[in-house]
Amino acid sequence: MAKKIIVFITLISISTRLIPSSFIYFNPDGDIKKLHLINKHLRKILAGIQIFPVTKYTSFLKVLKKKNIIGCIAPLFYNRFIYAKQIPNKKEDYKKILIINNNHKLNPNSRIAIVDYGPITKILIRQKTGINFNIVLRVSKDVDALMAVKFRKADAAIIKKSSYKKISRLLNSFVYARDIAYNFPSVPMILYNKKHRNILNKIIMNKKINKLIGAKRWIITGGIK
Amino acid sequence: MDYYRRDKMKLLNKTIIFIVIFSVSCTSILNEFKKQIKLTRVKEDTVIILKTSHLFNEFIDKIKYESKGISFIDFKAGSNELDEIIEEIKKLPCKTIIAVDSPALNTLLKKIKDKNIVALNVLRLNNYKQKNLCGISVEIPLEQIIITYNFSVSASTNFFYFVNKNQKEKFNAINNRLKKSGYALRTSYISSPDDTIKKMNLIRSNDTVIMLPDLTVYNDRSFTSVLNHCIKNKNSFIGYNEYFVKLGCLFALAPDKDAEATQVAGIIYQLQNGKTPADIGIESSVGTKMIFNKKTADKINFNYIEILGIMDMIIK
Repeated sequence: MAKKIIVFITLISISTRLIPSSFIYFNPDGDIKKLHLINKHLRKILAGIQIFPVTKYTSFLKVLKKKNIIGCIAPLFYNRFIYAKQIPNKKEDYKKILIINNNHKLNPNSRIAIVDYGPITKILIRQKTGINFNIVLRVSKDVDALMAVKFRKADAAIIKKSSYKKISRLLNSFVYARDIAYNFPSVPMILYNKKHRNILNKIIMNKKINKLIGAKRWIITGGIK
Repeated sequence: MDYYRRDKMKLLNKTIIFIVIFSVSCTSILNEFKKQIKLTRVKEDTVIILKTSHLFNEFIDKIKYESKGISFIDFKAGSNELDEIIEEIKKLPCKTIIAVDSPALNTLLKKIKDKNIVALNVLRLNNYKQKNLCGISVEIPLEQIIITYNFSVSASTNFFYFVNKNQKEKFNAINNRLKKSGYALRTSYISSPDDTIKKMNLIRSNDTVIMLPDLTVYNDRSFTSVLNHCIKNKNSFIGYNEYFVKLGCLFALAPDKDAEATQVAGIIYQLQNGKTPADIGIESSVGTKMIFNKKTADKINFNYIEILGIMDMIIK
């Protein structure tokens, strides 16, 4: 009987060790078209570790439920990781603008569309616009937020300045918008488990990764309470 | 003779059992609904959710999560059984009912006139005309498909699509709007699916073909022949939904349920704060998800490495 128990315990310990550790990349404001390259280079650096590049907040939450997560690059949501703050190369990449439908005065009952940042979304909007919106339409792409304004599904939208430039050029005459520039940085953080500090160093020191992510340098700030 | 009697008795027994089961089931659905009403103290703010399948359970949970502070009665019944609870719904003080699918909407239409109806997941919702109806349609506007495809998938600005003759005015207006933004749109107006096959040769080599949800344009035969034509001539073919991408279309834009849940929560908030269904009207889904077929991309030599990261669903 005792033998059986010992065998059972050893089998369990082996199986838990067999689960590969995983690393998540989630940066809704980054250049999504470079996602496959980031994935490729992260795989090279972190050999033997599963990489999950995700673009939607909901899929980020799904991946977070996995066991053996050793770290992730993501905006600041959680306090169970220690983090390093990224100083972006081009701060313009993280600048956002507020687009409002013509002849509409914003009030708490107006509908605003924005890319989903999770629980901090509402707080961010309140901080930057000064209005506590009751209806926040959380979408997964900047194009959706802009289309929401165009088709009158939302009264306003907060999108990246760079994507506004691209889309407004395409939309030409039918953008009913006046833009108010807001400095809306949501700089990505690198979050990691204390045990795996070497992984943090590997990523910070890698020039290619930094170039792809758009990081100038990183500041290690310690734990979050 | 005995055998004949036995058979007759068996038949009688079966019919009696069937009637008993049917009557029990009829009463049980009403009882179930009454039980739920007892459990939740129904007020004016309470929202009733009616559905006929479990397919949208996750979506409903998201709606509940997004609209905090509101009590819901979430009720599922067969499409034939919903009729029995309508009288009970009429008596309730609540003002808003969500019809999650088309059978639920069909039972509510014309029977309930003093409560707001929010319809979801229904095809051609614009055709339903009732004063107390608002909701989110499944269809995504053509302009949104074109702009999203151009912004995130390919820089191509040449598009081609088949449309029924009767909708000429509507689509001419759309074409003119898009032409101002630098798109080159060509349309072939037809009257039957056979016309689609005849006029396939109008598709040029650099055109991106868009499929619109219209049974007078596409049937099984015309769809497969247009698809084969596109693959043969290396044209991108944008399907209407996920199903058509699985069949071989390159790309499709479908409603995103996560974003739609926030939109429904917004509609509920608006209805409970003085707006009428007529103010809200019928909207398309605020969020979209992109579906891409890697196999077709290989066949038509479409360069997809850069865009794979942004796709919500890839069919291999």
